[in-house]
Amino acid sequence: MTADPRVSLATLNPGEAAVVVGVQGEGAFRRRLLDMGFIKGTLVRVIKHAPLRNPVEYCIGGTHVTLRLQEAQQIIVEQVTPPPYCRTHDDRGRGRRLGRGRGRGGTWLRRNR
Amino acid sequence: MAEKKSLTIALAGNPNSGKTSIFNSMTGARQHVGNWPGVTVEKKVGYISHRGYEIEIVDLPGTYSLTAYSVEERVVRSYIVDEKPDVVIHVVDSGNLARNLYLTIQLMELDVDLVVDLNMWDEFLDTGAELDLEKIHRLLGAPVVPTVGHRGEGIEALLDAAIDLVEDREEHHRHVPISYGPHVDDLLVELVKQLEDGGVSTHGYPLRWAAIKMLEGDREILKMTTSGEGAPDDASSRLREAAARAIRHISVATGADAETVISEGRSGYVEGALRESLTLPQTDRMELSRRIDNVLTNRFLGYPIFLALMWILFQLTFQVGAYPQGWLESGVTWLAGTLETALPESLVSDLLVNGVVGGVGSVIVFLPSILILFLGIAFLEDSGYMARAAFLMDRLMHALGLHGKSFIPMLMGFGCTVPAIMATRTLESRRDRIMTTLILPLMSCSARLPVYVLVAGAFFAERAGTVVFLIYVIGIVTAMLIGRLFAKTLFRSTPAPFVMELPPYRLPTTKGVLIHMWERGKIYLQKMGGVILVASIVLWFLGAFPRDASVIETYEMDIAALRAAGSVEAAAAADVLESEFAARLTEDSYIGKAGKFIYPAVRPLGFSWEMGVSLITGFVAKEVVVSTLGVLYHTDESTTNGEHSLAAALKDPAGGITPLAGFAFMLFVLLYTPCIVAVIATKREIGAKWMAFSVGYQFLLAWTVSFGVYQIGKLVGL
Repeated sequence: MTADPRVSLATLNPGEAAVVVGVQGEGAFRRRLLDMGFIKGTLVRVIKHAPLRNPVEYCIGGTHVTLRLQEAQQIIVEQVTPPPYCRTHDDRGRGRRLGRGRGRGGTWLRRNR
Repeated sequence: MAEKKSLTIALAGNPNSGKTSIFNSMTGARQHVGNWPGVTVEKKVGYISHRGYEIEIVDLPGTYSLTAYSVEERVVRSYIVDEKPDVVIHVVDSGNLARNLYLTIQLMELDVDLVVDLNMWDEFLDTGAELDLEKIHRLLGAPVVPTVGHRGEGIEALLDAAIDLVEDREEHHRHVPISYGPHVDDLLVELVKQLEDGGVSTHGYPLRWAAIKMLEGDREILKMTTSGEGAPDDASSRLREAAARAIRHISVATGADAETVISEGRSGYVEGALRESLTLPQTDRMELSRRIDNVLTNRFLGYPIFLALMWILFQLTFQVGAYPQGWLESGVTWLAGTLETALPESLVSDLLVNGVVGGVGSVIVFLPSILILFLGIAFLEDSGYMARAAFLMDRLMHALGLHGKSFIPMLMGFGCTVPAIMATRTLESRRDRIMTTLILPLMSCSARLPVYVLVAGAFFAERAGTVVFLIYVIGIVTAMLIGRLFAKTLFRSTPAPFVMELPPYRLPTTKGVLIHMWERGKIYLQKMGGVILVASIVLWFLGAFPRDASVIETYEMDIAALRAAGSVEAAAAADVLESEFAARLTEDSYIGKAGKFIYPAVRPLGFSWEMGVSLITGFVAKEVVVSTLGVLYHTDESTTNGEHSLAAALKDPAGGITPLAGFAFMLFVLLYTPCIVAVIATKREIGAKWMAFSVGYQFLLAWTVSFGVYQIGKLVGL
């Protein structure tokens, strides 16, 4: 594996955050993501997965948007330390540790990357 | 001026921006709901007067952008350039300025007279954010007015701003051209020049806007400008080349494709404007919603709560709704009785009592239940829970090849298939709309309930509730199977992306919920006023004619003779003869003939010919199944020992209908073609071809399933 910091949004766990690098795909789908604010430099944070793991709730530009994992796969991001806003369930009492650790959901959702 | 001046104001805005609440606050109940020409997108228009102006308010569909990709977005942009409203009010969610103003920019580029409505201003202030209104006004080049739509605050000011804009156009009207960076700007200038020089018609779209759209690869605009439709051939081919070259140029120069660069340009402009004018909120306005969601979309609690809410909705609809339904039923019975005694016995009184009052009455009694269901759905929608329900349900719906949002129309299908079909409009892709519309009728609508209640009550007594519940479940399971089948065969393209906003939770307003409920309830009422009334009369006619005069005469004379005899035996004989007479009349009628004709088709399902007839008439509306059975079995609304006389007649062993056949009958009613109104709605939403398919597959499905259940059940000795 190379040290390319760019990953797909789908690989992030709840509580983690990233900055959008670009949106792959084409046509209506891609345009829709652009219009919803998935634009280069925008911060996205994973809020939570639906009970059956899919879709996923994201916080972007102060709003909460849902995407399926296969759609999030099309969004290329660079992971960053989560901001104080767009908080998730795990923030409570865990505070700043989130940036390094992996939330409770993270362990539950751990996937082979 | 004494004469009233007229004005058209269009409302544009994102979904969830509170546009509907602004529209409702402006127009109250004075709304007219129709369709945009040629497309099945709802068009709402309201009329008000303000400061001496007669104002027409047009509610445009909620959109995030103005691309050619969705019907709604095309409707918005073509309305704006074709109808040229005097003012466009852009309703903006103040708590989410960045994304909302992204659309403002696009509206500005369309050269409209724009007023920006900063809606949900109270929530915005509550988060501790501040906005320099003067600055944002200057940066956008459009007046900004804070409002609180659901409380009606700021509506006057909004209308004032719109009228001011019209009255002194010059002062406000200045366009702030958005810069997309030197590369793109130069290319835009070049394209605009080519459009001008080539004499290309952009059908009212501003040239720069058209040029931007060409760079974005907008198919509609590209077709318009380069297909030779709007321009001489050489000019259009030059344009096509120029656009392609420009797109290539941008991607070489910036390393990104033109569409992205332009989106980034818009966002960049908005960001810049906000950086100068907005003090960021101290608290996250999603904070409360997030906490609520910790429970409502919790990985363990999410589904139980969801099911509980649906259960409550169901109970409210059918248990609470039963009370007003009872009152209406007695009202209808009273009216029928009064008419019957007041009018001399004749064909006309029969038509009124049994045809009109009986027919329409059998439908109107469900109105309370329907209204309660719509009220509940409106509440769930306005509160923001519906989006969460879609979030929870998407995984399951996706397995059926559908979108999480398809769940909403499906749920409404339990109330009435007609508004549910209309609710498929909230789905973005045509594929999803068609698929949802096709399997939606399998959600057992409330009109089918009286049939179940009657049949289950007759054959399954105490277990009736369980049996009815089972029928509902069978409907859902069938829908899942059919959905999977269709997804694998007819609709193999991928379903639409699940890009959906989860708006903050809000306490719905009474007014908003009531208007929402009424909009849908009205559709149901219209169905009654029109189709059901006509159908009831036609049905009555088919049941009453042809009348063989000689048969009638013979019976009447015989009955009269027996009555005249005066003895108890003779009176009893007269009663028997009378019911025979009625049966004979029905059997000889057109309906009776039709029933006899299709009898061979329904006999393998264990149905009587009367049941066959009721299935035919049930095509008019499923409730009619019950009233037809009532007529054919010569029963009235009366009850003996708490039992419906029709139920008693049905389970009469002499009729030969077994509980198994009763169950097969319920299955048939569940699965077969929905009522004619639903069929019409289907045609309107997805076209005649799919309508025919919908009708056909459901008929086949109903027959096959009922046949299978009855025959297999008989084999195993049920």
